[in-house]
Amino acid sequence: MNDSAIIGMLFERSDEAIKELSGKYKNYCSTIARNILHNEEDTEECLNDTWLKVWSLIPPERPNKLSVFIGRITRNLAIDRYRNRKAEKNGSGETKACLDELYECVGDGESFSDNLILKDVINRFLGTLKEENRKVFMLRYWYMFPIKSIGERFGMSEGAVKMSLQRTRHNLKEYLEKEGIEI
Amino acid sequence: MKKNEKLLEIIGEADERFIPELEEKKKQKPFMKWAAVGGGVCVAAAIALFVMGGGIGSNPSVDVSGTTTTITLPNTYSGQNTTTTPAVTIHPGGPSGGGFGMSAVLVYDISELGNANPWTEECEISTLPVFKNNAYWTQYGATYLNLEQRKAIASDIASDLGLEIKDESAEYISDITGGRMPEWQEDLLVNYTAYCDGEAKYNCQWVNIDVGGDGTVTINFTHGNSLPEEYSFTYYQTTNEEAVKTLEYLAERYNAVIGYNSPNLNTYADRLITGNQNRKYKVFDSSDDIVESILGYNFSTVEFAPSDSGELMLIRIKDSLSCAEKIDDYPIISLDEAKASLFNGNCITNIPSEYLDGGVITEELIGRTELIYLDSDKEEFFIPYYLFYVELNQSQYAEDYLPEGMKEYGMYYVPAISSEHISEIELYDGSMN
Repeated sequence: MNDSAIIGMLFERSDEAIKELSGKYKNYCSTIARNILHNEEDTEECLNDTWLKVWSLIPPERPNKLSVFIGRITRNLAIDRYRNRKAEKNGSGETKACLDELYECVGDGESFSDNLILKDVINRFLGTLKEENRKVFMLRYWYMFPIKSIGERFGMSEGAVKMSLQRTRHNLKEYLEKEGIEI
Repeated sequence: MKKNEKLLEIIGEADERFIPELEEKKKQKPFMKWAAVGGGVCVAAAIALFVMGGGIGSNPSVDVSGTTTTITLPNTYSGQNTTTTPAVTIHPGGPSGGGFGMSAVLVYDISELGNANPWTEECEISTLPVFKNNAYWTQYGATYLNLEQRKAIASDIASDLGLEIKDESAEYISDITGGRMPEWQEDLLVNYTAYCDGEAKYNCQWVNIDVGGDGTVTINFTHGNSLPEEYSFTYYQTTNEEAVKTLEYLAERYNAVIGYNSPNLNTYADRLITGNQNRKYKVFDSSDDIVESILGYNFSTVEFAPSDSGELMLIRIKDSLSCAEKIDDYPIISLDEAKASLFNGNCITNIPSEYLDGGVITEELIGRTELIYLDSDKEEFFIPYYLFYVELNQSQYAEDYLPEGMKEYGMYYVPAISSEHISEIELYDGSMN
């Protein structure tokens, strides 16, 4: 079933919509949640939360691209769950590694003052990247794939992936500084 | 929140054009599984359940605590295959395999569920047909009909609507998997859509016609299709009388698409958790013959769906028997026999046992009984079931969970064909497919 039909069913409030949604996107969302949480039980619960969240958001929302819409929800829910687990000192998975790597760009000081500006800067920065570098960067920091897995997807060695990420992070740091973002 | 945490969060808000598509690396088996106990094919099925609230037509909710509840069914359906009719396997996709939400309805009074099901307790039927569903789903949905067959269906529908197909799209399994499946699977068609310009005839820029692998046609009026002002067409505010009038208009307006000799109207409404009604607008193919009418009610249906602003948003046409083969006529058990099974706990449901006092169903709790077929593409065989709406114990709910006076009825299914014709039952294992 295509996405517009699923969205149509959600607008109808048909419970079939959730079946179709989970049937089509379970693997996709599982991948995202598992990358972040590294825990099957948490991943399963995160997916349940995702379907519920989608049900509560559509309608009124009508996403242009359903996969990204759902993936973003899963990602945010998984990060929230990761934070809660971290608070319980059980944090694990790729999230911690990603945070450590991003520490190179911005440190771990108190948060930025203006999220909207930062979001705009990040989007502009992503627009400056070559497609392959951007894909590697987003697979790492949006989907939070392990380095090895990214290499397998692009036919790259782990070292090459690390190098690509390191350069992109370095460029990001310079870009943020140039844009006046306090690091 | 620290800066590196905030940066990770903001990256998550990146514009969608920067988020790469993700090819799936591997496929998982469909969600059903069952446990065979002892010799032969006796089945004890453990149903792990997610859900602690919601219901069909209401806001589904999930068990966010992550706990599960288990019901163990006794060894009832032991296939002996003592007759000449072939035994069928039940993989219920509807009652317990839906994968989301508790199979339950909310109403203030069970009479609100009154629908046009031609079956009544007075019907004298000794046999009913069982069908093999050739469009039984793959992980990507039903893929039985090929491109040419779906094009032909879309072309007929477009012609009936007085529209011309301007463009079309087809999505194969290979498009989804990126070439990681066996070749014969890669070529299976998942989605097909024909795009028609609806500006002149329906005052709607595009009319999209999706044709599923099981022949289900969904006509999407992408910007709504207005009805004359005198018709009320909403989920929440249209009374039964108004709905009948609207449905009569729609059945007449789209008569060419529906194409039934004896169209019968079917409108009813359960409730959302807010107390608002959730109305359905359907037409089915009727007949003077009761068995044909039952088949029409369950398999040959047209559903009209309104938009939030009361326009016609979608027409869904189902004709599930067009992709099925009749196996045979099977003797059916009586309603009393079905109730006996139900009272013994031999039924298919995903309702946690604690929603029943002492986990027991009694006659007094049954609010409504129907005989139905499940016609989703997740049914390998189309077999008849007795469907019992059983009032649930509300002590499980938070105090203000339901509006005052609202009741929740759980749906419990008992196969209507006798157990010697059933070889196995697969039951929902609690996973989200």
